[in-house]
Amino acid sequence: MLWWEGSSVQEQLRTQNDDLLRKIHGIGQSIATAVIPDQLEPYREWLQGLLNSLAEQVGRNLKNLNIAVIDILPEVLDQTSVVTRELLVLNDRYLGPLLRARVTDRLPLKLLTWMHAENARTCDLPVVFADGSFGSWPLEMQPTLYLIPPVDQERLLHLPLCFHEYGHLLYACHFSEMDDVVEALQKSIARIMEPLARRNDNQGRSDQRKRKLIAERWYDWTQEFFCDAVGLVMAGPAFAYSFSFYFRTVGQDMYQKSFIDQMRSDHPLTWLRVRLLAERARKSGWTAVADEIEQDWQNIAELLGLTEDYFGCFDEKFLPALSQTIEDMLIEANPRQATSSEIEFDGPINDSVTPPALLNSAWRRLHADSNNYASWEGRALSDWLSLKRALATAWQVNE
Amino acid sequence: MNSDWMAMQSFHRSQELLTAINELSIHLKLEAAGISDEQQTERAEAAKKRLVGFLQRLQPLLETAERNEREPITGADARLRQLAQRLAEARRVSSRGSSPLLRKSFAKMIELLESDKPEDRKPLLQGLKDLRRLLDQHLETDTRALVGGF
Repeated sequence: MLWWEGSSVQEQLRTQNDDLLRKIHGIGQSIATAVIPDQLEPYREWLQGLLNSLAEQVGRNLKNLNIAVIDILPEVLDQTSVVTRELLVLNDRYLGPLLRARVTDRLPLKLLTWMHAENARTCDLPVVFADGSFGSWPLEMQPTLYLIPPVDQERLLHLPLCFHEYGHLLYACHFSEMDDVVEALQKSIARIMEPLARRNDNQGRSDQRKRKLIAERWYDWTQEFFCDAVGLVMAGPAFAYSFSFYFRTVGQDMYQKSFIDQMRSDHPLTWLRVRLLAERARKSGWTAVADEIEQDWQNIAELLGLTEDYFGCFDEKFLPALSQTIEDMLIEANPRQATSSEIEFDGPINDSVTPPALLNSAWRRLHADSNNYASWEGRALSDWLSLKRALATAWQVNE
Repeated sequence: MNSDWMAMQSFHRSQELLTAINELSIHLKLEAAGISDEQQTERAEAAKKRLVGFLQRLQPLLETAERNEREPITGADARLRQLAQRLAEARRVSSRGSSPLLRKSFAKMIELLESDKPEDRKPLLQGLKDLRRLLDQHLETDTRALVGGF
């Protein structure tokens, strides 16, 4: 008999995989019986497919445990860990939005489903969302899990930030081409930062290390700038207002951060993002919007006693290459552009009004009459989601 | 805004790669023992393609990391850069064994993956084992970021 045959570890792995199979079947039963909005049906189907493939993997693990002539226990252990981790993540993030679905999910789901449907690369990817700070889990071949703060799930003003998150998905769908463009920008930034003469002492080496860190960080930051641009292209001024409003009073680290803190952050300094957003808004002809958000940030910065300082992480000389890179990325990703009629939309709200029209209308209402905004928003949401009609249908069904 | 997307993409990438390593490794061991399994062979072929594609993507990042540690690693997200640096470090300190991943030219590992010669099976298995260990360690950070520590 070979050492692994009948060994305790072999038996442990068998027990572990049996347990995984029970968990997979349990989850399958829960999601099959969950009462969910129609927009989550594609997501439920995807989950069921994923569970099937995990069950197949567990089946292979159990089959491999019966192979007596060779030692493949390390591989079976590792594959058992792969499935275990998948289930951990599934349980932690992906199941809640389906098992805890609520009637009020309809607003974000309608917006997200529309967003995905508007682009050939994303129209077949199901959407789902969970509670959390605005964020997303974008993968080219899987449903996109969006994170939306609970307070913003039933209100309009900050939903434009979902368009930024959608930008991450567009990046993932075009990642090879995007990575090439971003790499060229990083090299250009590294060249710009290179001094005319290098010092061969401790200071020179420290400066070189800083330049390396900055050039590398710009990979992540460029994606964020691209996502901001996607937000502005798709949602128009509503995105600029939403972004500025959401972050401007979060704290002084929105305006200034030490070199080390900037290097630790996946996101570029927010004040710089506002500045670039304003420049892009100006190019699109929304000068008043650009002036307003820039002035808002300037006012608060002055109140905080802060001036623009990026501690070397950003230089005006980066701008031409950065702007060109974002343009190239937008051409590659081709996000749907908000039309002028959507941006200026001020008509009655009904269920066929597009999200950019609805969101821009909301911001215009807020600016025009903030005292009565809440009551307008309540009516607008009811009309956009056809809540009265939905309730009437529900009554008829009950009767 | 939330930065989980980077951990999630890295998690997904490592999970896929580990599955590919294990499928190929099982296939090589079965093949060496003279056991044929058509479906396992198909999965191993797909796994080889996935691994070759990944190593080709990793190669220039690793070369930069090994050439000059002060030179920026460009065209890759923070997690992939960290993996390249981790591998470069492992190759620097590795002083024993015959793993093609750690001791030889990195291109050799890709050659082994593309080879069907029986004599290449053993070094390839060793390289896959080292790559698995590296990815398992790398994955811990992403798993912790996504579901928290225990």
